[in-house]
Amino acid sequence: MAVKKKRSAKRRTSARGRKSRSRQTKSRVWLKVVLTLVVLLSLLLGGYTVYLGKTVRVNFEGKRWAVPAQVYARPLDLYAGAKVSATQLMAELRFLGYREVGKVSGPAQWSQEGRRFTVHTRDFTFWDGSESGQAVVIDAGRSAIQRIRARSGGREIDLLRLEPALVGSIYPSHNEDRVLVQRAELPADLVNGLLAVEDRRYFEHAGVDLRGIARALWANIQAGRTVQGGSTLTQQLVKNFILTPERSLRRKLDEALMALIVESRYSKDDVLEAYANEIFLGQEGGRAIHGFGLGAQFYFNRPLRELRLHESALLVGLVKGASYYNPRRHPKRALKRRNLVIEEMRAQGFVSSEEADAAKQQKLGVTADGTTRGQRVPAFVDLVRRQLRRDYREEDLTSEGLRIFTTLDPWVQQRAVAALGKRLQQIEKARRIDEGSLQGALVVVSAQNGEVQALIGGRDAAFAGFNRALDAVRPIGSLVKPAVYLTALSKPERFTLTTMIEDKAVDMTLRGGQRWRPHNYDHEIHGPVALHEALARSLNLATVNLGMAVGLKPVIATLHALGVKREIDAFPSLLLGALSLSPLEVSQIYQGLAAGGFSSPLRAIRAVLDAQEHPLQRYPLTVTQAADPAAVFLLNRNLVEVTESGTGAALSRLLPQGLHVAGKTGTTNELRDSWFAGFSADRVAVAWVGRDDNAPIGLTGSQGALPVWADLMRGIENVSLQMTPPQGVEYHWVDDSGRLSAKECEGAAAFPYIAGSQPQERADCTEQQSSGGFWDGLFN
Amino acid sequence: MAAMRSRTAARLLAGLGLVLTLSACGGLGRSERPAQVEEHGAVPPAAQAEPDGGGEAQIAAYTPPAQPVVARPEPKRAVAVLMKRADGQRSSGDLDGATVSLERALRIAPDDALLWHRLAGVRMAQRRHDLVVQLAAKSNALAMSGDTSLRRSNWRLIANARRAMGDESGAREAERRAGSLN
Repeated sequence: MAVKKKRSAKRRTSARGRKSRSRQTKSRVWLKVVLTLVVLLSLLLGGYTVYLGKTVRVNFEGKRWAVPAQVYARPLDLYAGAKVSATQLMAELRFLGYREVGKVSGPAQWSQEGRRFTVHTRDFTFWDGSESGQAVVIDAGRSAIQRIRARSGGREIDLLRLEPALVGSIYPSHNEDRVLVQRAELPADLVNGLLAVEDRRYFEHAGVDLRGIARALWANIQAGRTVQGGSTLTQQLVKNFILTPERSLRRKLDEALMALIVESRYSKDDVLEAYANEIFLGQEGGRAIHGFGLGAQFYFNRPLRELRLHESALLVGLVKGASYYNPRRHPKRALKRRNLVIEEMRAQGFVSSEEADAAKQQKLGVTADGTTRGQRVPAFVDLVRRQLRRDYREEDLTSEGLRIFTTLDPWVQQRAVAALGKRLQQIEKARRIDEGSLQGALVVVSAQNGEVQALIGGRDAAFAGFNRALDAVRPIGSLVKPAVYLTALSKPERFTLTTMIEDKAVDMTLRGGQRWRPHNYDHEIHGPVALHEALARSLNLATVNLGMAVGLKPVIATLHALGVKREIDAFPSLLLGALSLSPLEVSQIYQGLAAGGFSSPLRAIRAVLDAQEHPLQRYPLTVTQAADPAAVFLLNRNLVEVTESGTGAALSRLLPQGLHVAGKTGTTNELRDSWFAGFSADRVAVAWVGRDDNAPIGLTGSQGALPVWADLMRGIENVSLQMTPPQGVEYHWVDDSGRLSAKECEGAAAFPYIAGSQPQERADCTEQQSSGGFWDGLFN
Repeated sequence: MAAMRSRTAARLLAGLGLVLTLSACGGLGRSERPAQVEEHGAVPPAAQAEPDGGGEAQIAAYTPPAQPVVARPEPKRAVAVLMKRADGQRSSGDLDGATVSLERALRIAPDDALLWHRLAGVRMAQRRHDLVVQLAAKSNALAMSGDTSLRRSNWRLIANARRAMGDESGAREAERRAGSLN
């Protein structure tokens, strides 16, 4: 047995030896396998980490923040005599997001006592240098600024510039809009709030907070549902780098790993800055609001650094769910969430109980709509974008953080929006037109330099839809007539304002054999009429006869000189406005007239600065003499007549007394388009009313567009036309048959003539001969 | 017709101004400004205005056209501030800055013929000759008919700009117009 045993023992031993050998082999194999696996795994993990690291780097460094171009309105120049009313001044301060306070104690604040304003302006870098904010006292009158003084010392200030309001941005097609902020610009309240509710141990953990996860887990188990997240700010940031929206363990691990990588490579401040610029804070239509910088403007209409505790707390609260806590849609929820943030801040000692209580008493304080400072001006920004596209690549506009200084006058824009909206509603009601069926467009341009002050592309001006001011290309009807008359008046040897022209039937066979028999609006034939009367009454037949006499080509040349870029067909129907233009193009024509024959290309932009505030480009003032100033003066005198006794006479009861304007009504076939184009001494405005489906609206120019135009002009300050004759123009008294007469004679009226073109034939009554323009003018 | 009234008033004032200044011309007028200022006009002659290459700032501060025959309205203080700033910028060689200041002044006083003239002068220094002709013409269109010194300066600017663009006959015509305003 023993032997057996031994043997067996031996066997066992040998078996054991074999076994141990095989075990050794096996374990060696295992070791190898494990080692290989470890190596492979670490290789894989390493590779994976490298891959994740690259993703992190690409997102953190490679991709600079795509910062959309910021679009600013014009700055407001204030000086004694500036035509800015107290009402406008208040509106301007609100566009800028200045706080109205009892006592001004810092920048971006104002207070008011009657018409005396105390204002502390912000620092601002303009295209021609930086200006420091200053505290001033402004005495505003009913319609103009009386005096500006420094608040301390009372030194008189000759010229003060309020920084321009931010009115929009040009964001890329993926619709992420943001205003970049730096770590140093983040208010302490905001950072503290984030720490308090999102990541208490932010400055202690290494990207992942195990304690935080445990706490969240415990809280969730206790509650039986997810009530707390254990994600650190770093993990939240990283989440945005990984584009897939899935929720899986693998993704969680990726996040954690990437968070660790991020923290190992970048400082806490860098991470915080990135977080502050990446975070999603709201949605407005197709536009996504990213980052606290834009968030502050989107919700409060002011820069981030000016936010107070309750405002910062609201933004922090939105991190958890920008749409669920949307303060505009769900104010109660938002308020509760904001107060919870404040409460947490108090609990963790970031704010005192008094501060917290005071902040919780505050209203939400968000602006009425998603306006970023001022108002939404999509049609104008569209124009800016189109003008910029000539000089910049689209991706530069949407990502380089350019600062675009435009010509937009937010006050004029606001009044124009009101004028169009209200008047169209009134017209629809009064004329029993289907509510909402009328559409319109409005353009306001500075008369002497062609700067576009306001542009409205449709009735709902805040809606970025079809931009009728630029894209509704419609027949302009009688708006073309001034070009016909200007062409005639530029030939003083043949035509003057008092030349008799024939309003007689027109019957033409056009090229292609078509017959053309236009008629007057009243279907009458008026016989011989004075040239000025034919325009004032907008007589079609007289105009066609006049136009055919001067020739189509010269009329077309006049239109081109006045800035029409399109090809114009030389058909006689052109003379009655068979020419399709957009309201903006019409504005260009009338700007040239308003500026006495000196046309300036319409501009929406003054200057472009890069993100570092260096000037990139300026769009300077240019003028081109498009027509003889003397002939333009005669025409303008005639266009004043239109508004005082011609087809635009309705203006006299719609405009303030003493405001003299020039203008022209336009109506197209079957009353499809209603136009009015005209100007005061300082502004040109063009109004169009019609339907998008081009169906007749039953309104003439004076019934639709004219009242819109009048409401606009009444709502803003205008300089009345003075009609000072230029050199080479003389006034002469003539009778109604166009013969030289005298002031005392019956039916005599004074008309301007280009020197030498006055009538030679004398009327019977010529007691006091008129001779010199200047002295004559003194007594007319 | 408020416009009529104000026009009449404006003419009366201008007329009075003309009478007064004309009567003043015989006595005080000339001694107030040295004659050579008028010689140089508002804008330095072309040779002076356009140094070859990157010479130093060549532009003397703006000299108003000598002896206005009519009383130009006093510009608003805000405009005066900007004019002065433009002068400073121009004399320190910052022509772009001067343009910006003058354009800003023109937004405040768009029908100030003198401002348009000054802008034309800066543009001349920048060799924007095509623009000079237009800006000076605009200034002329706005200038009061009695303001012959300003109109003469504008015609000289136009002459210089046309000559610089190679339009010799146009330049001579502009010089003739300037001469006729003496």
